[in-house]
Amino acid sequence: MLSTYAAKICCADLYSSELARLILGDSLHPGGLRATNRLGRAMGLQPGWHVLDLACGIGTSATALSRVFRCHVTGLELGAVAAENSRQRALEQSVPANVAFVRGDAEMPPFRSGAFDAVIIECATSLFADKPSAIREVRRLLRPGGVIGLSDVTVEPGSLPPELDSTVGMMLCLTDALPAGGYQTLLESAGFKVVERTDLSGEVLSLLAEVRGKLNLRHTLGQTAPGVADDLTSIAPDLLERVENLVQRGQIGYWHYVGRNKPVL
Amino acid sequence: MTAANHVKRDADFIFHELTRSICPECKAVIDAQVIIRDNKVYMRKRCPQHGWFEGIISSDAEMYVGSVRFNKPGTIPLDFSTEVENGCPLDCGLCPEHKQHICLALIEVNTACNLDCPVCFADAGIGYNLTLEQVESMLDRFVEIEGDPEVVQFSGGEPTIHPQLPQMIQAAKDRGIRQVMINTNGVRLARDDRFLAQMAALDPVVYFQFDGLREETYLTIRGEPLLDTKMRALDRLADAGMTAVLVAAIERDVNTDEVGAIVEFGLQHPAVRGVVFQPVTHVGRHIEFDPMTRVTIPDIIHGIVDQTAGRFVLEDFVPVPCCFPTCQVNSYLFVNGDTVMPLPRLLEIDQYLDYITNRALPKPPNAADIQTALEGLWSASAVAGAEKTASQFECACGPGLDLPYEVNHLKEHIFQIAIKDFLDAWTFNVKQVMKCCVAILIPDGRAIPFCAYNSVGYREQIRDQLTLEQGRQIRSRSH
Repeated sequence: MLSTYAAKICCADLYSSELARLILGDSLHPGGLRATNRLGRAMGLQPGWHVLDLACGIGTSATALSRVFRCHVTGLELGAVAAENSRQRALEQSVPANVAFVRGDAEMPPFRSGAFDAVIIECATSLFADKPSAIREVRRLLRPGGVIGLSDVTVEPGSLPPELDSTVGMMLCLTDALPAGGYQTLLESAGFKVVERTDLSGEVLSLLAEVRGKLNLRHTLGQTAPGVADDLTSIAPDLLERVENLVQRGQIGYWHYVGRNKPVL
Repeated sequence: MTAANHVKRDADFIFHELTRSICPECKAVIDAQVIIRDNKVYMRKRCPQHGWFEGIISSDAEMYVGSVRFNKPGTIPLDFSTEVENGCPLDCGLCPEHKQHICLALIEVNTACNLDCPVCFADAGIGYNLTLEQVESMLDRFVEIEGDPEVVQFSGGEPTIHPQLPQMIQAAKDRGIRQVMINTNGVRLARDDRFLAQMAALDPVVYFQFDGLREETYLTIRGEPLLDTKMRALDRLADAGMTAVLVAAIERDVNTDEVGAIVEFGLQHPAVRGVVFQPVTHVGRHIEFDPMTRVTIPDIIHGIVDQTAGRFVLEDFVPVPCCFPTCQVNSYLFVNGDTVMPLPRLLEIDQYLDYITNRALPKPPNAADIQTALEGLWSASAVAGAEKTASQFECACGPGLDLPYEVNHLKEHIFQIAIKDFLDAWTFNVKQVMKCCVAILIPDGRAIPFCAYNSVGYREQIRDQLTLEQGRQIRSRSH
């Protein structure tokens, strides 16, 4: 068993790996930038707002949010490679001056209280070691009336098959994910008023369908093209089906939540 | 009177269906009969003002009628922009009676062009330039009505001469639109290093006008010798690591004999991932033509089969189910060295059809596409079962993983051939327009099916309006 901090570093670096990008896409979460923009709209992001993207990965959402909503976005990321990639990509894309990246622990964000109008956490809450404390920290960072936008994988208790209860499951945010109701409780306990919660599990299903098509295609090509061996192909469809089933039955899902920072009485 | 006059005779055609079309003279909506004669399909219609018109719509009735089984239920968009008032095609759009969502959206960012082709459906010339703000609001509206937009193609005019094209491409990417394309004649890509570098950084798929490999073809269709420019642009795209789809406008007696050579050229060129053939649409500017012998989809399929020395058979080309299936056929090829294997021979096509054809373009060969699809997500889950790979994760947590050959390189082995027959006033069929999945986005929030936009009068109306508005803005700024 790795120490908590070592596990965090490992996980953060895992997320910045090429494989993770290949697997999860540039945005490192289901629905990609479409889901990010949707969350941004639900949060009511306004031009000129200061927005923090907690555990921002390689910075895809942060740069897009800054341009689409014309906000000042700060991305915080623990993974060294990811932080470096964010900077690199920002340079390549000639990102406007209103995006900055900081390397640091999302559970101990190094910012002053009330510094942000909004904080967005995509597919990262499930990986926090101490979730209540992390969300309380987010509330500290927000001005009164500020907004938190959280999206994550949901897993209902006892529904995870053993082959997903592993490092890979952890990478997919599955092993330590909360049930759909759990994130709401988490937000409310930290002092947020939940103003919206939206089921985006359909995003997962449509992407799974796309994956199935690709796997089928690869399977067929693999049989006809010599030297095109892929041992993943033989296992994936079966697992894919089981995950699809779990999503359809509501055991695994993907939700987003918008919470407002209630003023302290 | 002879006895023969008293004997009933059969008509020389089969009456296939009644639909609605428009008058090629006045564009009034009129009834139209679709008839089959000598295994060819014709549209016959009468305008009360301008009389009878007849033109060919398919040179192979068997293919035309057989394609219907590929028709799939449409997907309803999240929102509509107009009400049903006058009936199709006068309420675009989309109106609530439209039968399909938008697979491919076009934004014509300008009307100006750096060429002056005798053939141009968009009738490029003096007009308007959209602003970045206009384009951003059009993209936002597109996301609103689609939720999960597939493809945006920036067109014109000639989009590469619009100074804000790079920002427009970035704006589309920022909104999570899966694929961004630019539709270009390639002239600027051939000549402008700085522009090429900008495009390479954004990496849109280049929808590249390429009408053939003979200079005469360019002289006839484009009005100037362009072959060298085209070749230079393609080589530069390859050097920049970019992807092109060749788009060939095909006209009878001009380049119908070049379709095979275009496919062969595309298969050999490192930048090219596909070819789209488009019979010349007789809207905007076009050269003289005979509506009874115009090029249709089967002519091009037969052309490819006949001109490629046995590489293809007719069955390699399969109708596209998302639009009305008489509008487009596709084929996908698996290319590995000298091996070229059409997918319809490898797959039970119906099982894979959704995947292969419910998208308006091939899965592009950039990593971003593979990434956004969750392909790897569940492949990686599969890794959970494999002890060896799982242990790599646990310790290495990152670099040093060998990706399977296929995941990385499959995209480089897939080649698309598409044949798309856009409608003009002679072939216009309301049935097809109602299920059209290619739309032109308008700054006022409308999305107008491509063939309605070109044939019914929307293009002229909107161009005048946008040109006037821009003129007013420029005048008000200078005062």
